[in-house]
Amino acid sequence: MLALVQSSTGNTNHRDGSGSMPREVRLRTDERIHDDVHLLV
Amino acid sequence: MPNALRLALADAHLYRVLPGHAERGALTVSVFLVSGIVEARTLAAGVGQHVFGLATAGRMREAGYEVVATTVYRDGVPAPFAERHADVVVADYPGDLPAYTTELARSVRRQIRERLLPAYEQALRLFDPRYNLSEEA
Repeated sequence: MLALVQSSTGNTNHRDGSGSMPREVRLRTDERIHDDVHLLV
Repeated sequence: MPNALRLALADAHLYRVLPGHAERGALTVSVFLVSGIVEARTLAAGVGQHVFGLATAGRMREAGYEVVATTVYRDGVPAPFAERHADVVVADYPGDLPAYTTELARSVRRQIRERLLPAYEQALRLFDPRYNLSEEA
């Protein structure tokens, strides 16, 4: 069950554009996303 | 849309971690993984997003897009719902374009957006129709 946690990021595409905050993307290499999983944009 | 594209362009260099995109980074659509419409509504509410779209990973792959599980860190801390975050890779960041930063002239940034907007819109259209949280399920 998904916990409902209010976030401060409400932008389309889930990007907050907080350019002053260092950001990093890491690939979860051990995770396979199956074809029937839904993607929310 | 234009703002979403701006942010995706500004983040493109972060995606050099993706295999095949190490040199230029990638233009991606940031998504969350959900089981269906009910969970999508819950998560959209959680991130304060009133309008959202859905597509299966299979649909995106059939259209030729790569879907990868990714975690975004801000100042070393995982972003909200990090364990559900993923990206749809729209394209490699073009090698003939400068990195999209605020140091570029506005006119150059606009030219970059105009060039990449069609590809970005094409990917986003696969998430139609859009749902509104204020409407009945």
